Parts: sequence; structure tokens; C-alpha cells
Amino acid sequence: MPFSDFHGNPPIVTALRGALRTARVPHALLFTGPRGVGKFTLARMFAQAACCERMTDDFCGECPPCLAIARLADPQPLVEQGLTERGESADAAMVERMPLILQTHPDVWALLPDPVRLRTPVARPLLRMGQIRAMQRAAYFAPQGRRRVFLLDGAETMRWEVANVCLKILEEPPATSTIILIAPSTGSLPLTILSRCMQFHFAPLDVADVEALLREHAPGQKPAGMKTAALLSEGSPGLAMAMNVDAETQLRRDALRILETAASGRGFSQLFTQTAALAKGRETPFDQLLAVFYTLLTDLLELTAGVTQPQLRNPQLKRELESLSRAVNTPWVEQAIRGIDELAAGTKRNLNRQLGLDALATELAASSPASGPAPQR
Amino acid sequence: MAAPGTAREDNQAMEFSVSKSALLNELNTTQGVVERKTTIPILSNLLVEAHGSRLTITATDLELSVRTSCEAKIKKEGAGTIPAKKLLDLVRLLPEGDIKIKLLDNHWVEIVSDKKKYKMVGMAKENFPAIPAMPHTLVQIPAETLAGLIGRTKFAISMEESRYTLNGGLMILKPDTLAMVATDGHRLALAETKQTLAGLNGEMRVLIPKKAMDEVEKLAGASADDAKMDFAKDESHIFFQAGHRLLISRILTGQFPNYEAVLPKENNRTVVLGRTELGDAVRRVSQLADQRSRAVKFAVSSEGVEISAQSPEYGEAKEIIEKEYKGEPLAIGFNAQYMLDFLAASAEGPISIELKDEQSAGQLRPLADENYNYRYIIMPMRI
Repeated sequence: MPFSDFHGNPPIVTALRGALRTARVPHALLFTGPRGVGKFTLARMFAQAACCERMTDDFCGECPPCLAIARLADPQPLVEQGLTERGESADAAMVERMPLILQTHPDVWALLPDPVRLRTPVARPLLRMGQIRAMQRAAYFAPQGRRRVFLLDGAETMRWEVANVCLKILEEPPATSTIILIAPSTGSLPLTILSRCMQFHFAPLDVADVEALLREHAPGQKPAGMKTAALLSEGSPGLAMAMNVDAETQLRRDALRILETAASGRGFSQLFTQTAALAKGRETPFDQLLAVFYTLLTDLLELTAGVTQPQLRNPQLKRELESLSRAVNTPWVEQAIRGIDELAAGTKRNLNRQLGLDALATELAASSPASGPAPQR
Repeated sequence: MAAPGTAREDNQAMEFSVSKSALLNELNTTQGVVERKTTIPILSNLLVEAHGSRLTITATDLELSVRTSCEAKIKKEGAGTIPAKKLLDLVRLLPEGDIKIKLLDNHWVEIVSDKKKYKMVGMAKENFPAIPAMPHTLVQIPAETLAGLIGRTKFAISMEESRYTLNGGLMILKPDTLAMVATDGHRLALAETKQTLAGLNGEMRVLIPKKAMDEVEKLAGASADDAKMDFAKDESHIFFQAGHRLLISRILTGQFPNYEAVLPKENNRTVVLGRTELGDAVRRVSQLADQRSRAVKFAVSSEGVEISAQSPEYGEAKEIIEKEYKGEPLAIGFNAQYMLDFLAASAEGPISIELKDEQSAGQLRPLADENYNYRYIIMPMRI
């Protein structure tokens, strides 16, 4: 199960292996890239290679440290164990005092945004002060093996005061520890942290590669389903593998229907029923829903702008998108994109999601080319 | 590394009986180490291993581990994990006599005492972190000496989490002396004692985390008066062994401050006071000192030492201790708490206060301490 099992982004793998081989491992790494592209997987593999008993720039996957760290591949059971240990009714102080730490090997910790409770998790889990403080205490202890590795998943969820404690560690880095921060983009982290990390951006894989991966690892699925999953995942194998293709297609159809209703400029009661259904859907986190809107709007932008050979992100909705693109124009699509931007920013301030969606939809309906005099092109 | 903690037996069975007092004794030793504040469930468990005629108990919080053992009648060799807190609480309540412990399926553990029967659920022993084995002993240190050094320095360790290299004490081993230093940046405690350390060639410095110092002190306290502790070290751990009890701590990385540069050299204005009279006066005067800074002023002149404090909220205090002093008069401020910490740790008898000027650090030394060369440096306060 060595590095060769990691798919995509070979330059990053080469760089990490080089660092391990020459024993010049940076104290902090930042992995950015889309969800499901393999950031956490590669970080975990790096930890295995840093602790493997048999190899220095790769890992065998069979020695005790490798096996122990491999259990981090599926963090969910460990998170559940941890939350159970802390108890369902832990108060805020308790959550800080008993930070959620996943460890399966004494030298390797994974810190994930803390959902606080198992049965009724908080809407937006955060990396908490207690977790970073625990890491700060642990980072300055010598490793049992060659190196301590801390995986900080969801680093973008740190509040500024938490990020500042994290910064404190990066400013005086312990010689024997490596901290790997994982975030969707560099924009979500303070500059002070960015400048102290070696940054790696994970590019999406080719759709064909994702499809091949799916065929290899999830042979149970239907070939057509695999193709759609690979397309919809936009080059993130992790997303493609975990994807429920039918639900995902339906979600996109629902989102598109809101745009269609808004573009028609009529039928507000129908519009509100649709937004309510979408905003209350518990299965899809809201930021993922916004991402769906972005893909649809990007497709629409290409179509309305008259790109000669549009590369649609939602080819299965080609017909619907084309007919919608004839009903709207580029300024309308741009307005919609700006609206989603605002909504995305608003969710960070605990904006009411449904109200936000409603406001955006009504605004779009009001300025729809179909509802009144056509805005100037 | 074939440490007992990593051994994996195929047979899941384990059965033994042990006397309550022996078990309770060992369980108590592990309590300081077992982590209660963690979401890593295995760390609140003890690893219990039965081999030959001994029962070995291991506890760890990943940074500090303790391994201890006691005599037991082993019926079936094996290993398992048991929740530490619950086991201790239960064993405490059980009557004197033999306790039978048996590992059942699915990590359940049965505990039987006479006609009382209890079952607890443990965890897979494979999840218990691997604990390194003790390498060959480097030096032997008398437990009493070690406890003496720790007691004289531990209180000066920094509580600030961000100053990680100050979160421990520096132990300095030389062929003929043993010393320990601790500081928090405002004060520094240095204790040194003559001690032949056979088997040591050059100087060796190790940074010992605070929690490990607490546990070493406890281990030393529990040992016989003339007992010796084995000290060993590998690349990332330090080991202290007292009889059948082994304490393993990870080493703190980082550079301890260059403390030698802080030690005052020209503090020639000296006044000597009794430990009790000084302590009592400081304690009384500090009642009326500013509650946050705890600043107390020491004015030394030919009349003696005037200890005073004032705060806008409470009022002021002034005490004069008449002492012989021939140098130039001098007034300097110190944190009363820092002074009291030192007085509590030092031996009864005269205390020498050595000063240079208002801006330089003061040095305190107990003159009656025969076994230890003990120095305490306090940074002055502006008053």
C-alpha cells in the first residue's frame, strides 16, 4: 500500500518523498485543493512513511506503525469513539478540556473539526482551542520513532485566536514534528500561517482517470453510473467513490429547477417550496449545495456567452441548461453568481440559509429577462 | 523492540489472583499518569499483563508512561486492558484478601473477590500504545538526592504553555555532581549536590517535563531511604527505575535558556536573615501588597532590612528587621510569592540575600543547607 497507490498529483508525491529521503522534512505543510482529491489520504501516507520501520521515503504498509496509522484512513469510527468517551452532554468547557484527538500511533495525531456531539452534531464543526493547545503541548516532545506528524484537517475552520495559537507553533517549530494543515484553499487561512508553510495545491484528476479508479475500487457500480460519478466529482476520486449518483443527479436537477423558476419570473409560491425543500435537506451540507449552484451557473455562463465548444460540468442536464440559457442572459448569470458569493460569505456569519436562498431567488426573478423589459446587454 | 507492552499473544485468556493490598499499591502509582482528560479511549485504560509469577501494569498518556508490577498467582498467562479509574475505585472498596481477575471474550474482564463478582469492559490490548523498553542503566542516583533536587526547583517551572522549553527542569549530570535548574523567566532555581555518578564520562543535560518530575518525586518518596534509582536515556526517552517501578518520559525538545549567563557574579551587598523571620515578615507585609503584582519592597540600610508594601486599595505595611549591614543602602522590589516559594523549599536556618543594585537580579541562598548548593535568582520589580 505504498505511495504508488496514490492517484494523481505526482509532483507533490515526488516532493514529499524527496524531503523524507534527504531527511529535510519541513516543519509545516499546507495541502490545498478540492474536496475528495486526496489531501488527507496523502497526509496520512506521509505520516506512515515518516514512521515506517522498514523504509525511509516510502512505507511498507505491513510494519506495526504502518498498520496503526492506516487506521486513520477511516476517521469516522475514531471520531465516534472519542465523542462517546466525552459523553453526549459535554458543556463548552468540557469540549475544550477534553479535545477531540484521533491517534492510532503515539507519534501521529489527526485533529478534525469537532462536531461536539455524536447524535446532534453542531451545524459547523470547528477546530477548537483545546485541540490546538493539546497539539502545542505534544509537539515539543521527542517522537518515539523518527518524527511526530500532526494532521490538521479542516484548518480553514480555525477562528483567528485559534489560528494564532497554531501560528505560535509554526513560529517556533519543534525540530522533530511536522504539522500538515489541510484546507480547501489558501484564501481561507491567515497570511501569517500561509507564509510559514510549504504549500502544495492538489489539482483535480482527469475524468478518465477518476473513472478508471472507480472501476478498480468500486466494481459493483454500473458503468453509466461510474461515468456520471466521475464527471460530477470534477476530478476528485474521493468524492466520486463516496457519491450516490442518483441523489447527486437529483440534487443538481432540484437546484437547476430553482434557477429555471427564478428565470421565468413567475410562480413565487412554487419557488419558495423548492428553496425550502433544498435548504432543509439534511443530507447535503449547505456549502456543497452552493458548490452545485456554482457548477450550474458556470455552465450557464459558458452557454450564454456563446462559447463555441462548451465543456459542461453537468452534461447530463445539457438539454435543460441550453433551454434555460436561451431564457436568460450573461448579466443575469453574473448577478446570480454574485448572489451565491454573498450567500457563501453569509453562511460563515450564521445566515439563515433558507431566507438567504429565498432572497436570492426573488431578486433573480425580479431581474429576469422574462419578467420585464430586457436589461441592456 | 520486544517490549512487554508490544507483545501479542494469540491466546486471549488471562487469569490470575492477587492480594488486594499489593494490587491497590500498584494501581495508586499509576494514577498520576493515567489521562482522564482525553478523547482517546485507550489512554484511560491500564494494560495488565500476567507472566510467570508477576502481574505487570502499564499506564500512559503518550508523553509519560509508568510500568509497575507485583507478585500474583498466575493461572493463565495473557494480557488485557481494564478501565483505570473504575478499577482503582472498585479495588479500594473491596475487602482485604485475594482478588481474582479473568479475561473473558470481547475484552470483558471479570473481577471476583470472595463471593462478590464484577464485570468491566476493557479494550483490545493491540490498541494500547507501544511503550519502549528500558535500555541499559546509565547511572544510579540515590532517590533521596533526586527528590531533594526536584523539591528545590520544581516550583520555578513556568506555567505558560507557550514557553515549552521552560515547562520542565534541566538535569545536569557530571561525574561528580548532579544539578537541576528550573526557571520561568522571572526567577530561577538552581540546586546542585556532590554526587559521584559512576559510569558517566562527560557532562549530560536532559530536560525533564514537569509531569515527569512530579512522578519521579512520588516514586522517590515511596522508595526506601537509601534506595537508588536507575537512570537511563535513549534518543527520545528518559527512564527512571525504582525497584519494580519504571517511569518513562519523552524528552522535551528545544533549547533550555543559557542559565549560566543569568547567575549573578557581583552581588556583594549581603544581608543575612533567618528563614522564619523573613518568611513571616514577607507573608504579613504581602497582605497589603498590590494583589496583581505582589510587589514587596526591601530597603537595606545600616538599620537593618525594611520590608514594606503598599496598594491604593488596601493601605500599606512596613516591618523592620534589625540586622547588621555595612554596605551602601539599597532598595529593591521583589514578588512576594516568588520569595515565599523559595523559603518554603529551603532548609531552616539563615538565608543570605545578595544584591547588586536596584536593577539587577537578587540572589538568595540558604546557608544552613549542608547537602545542596542551592541558589535562587529573582528578577527585581520596579517600585
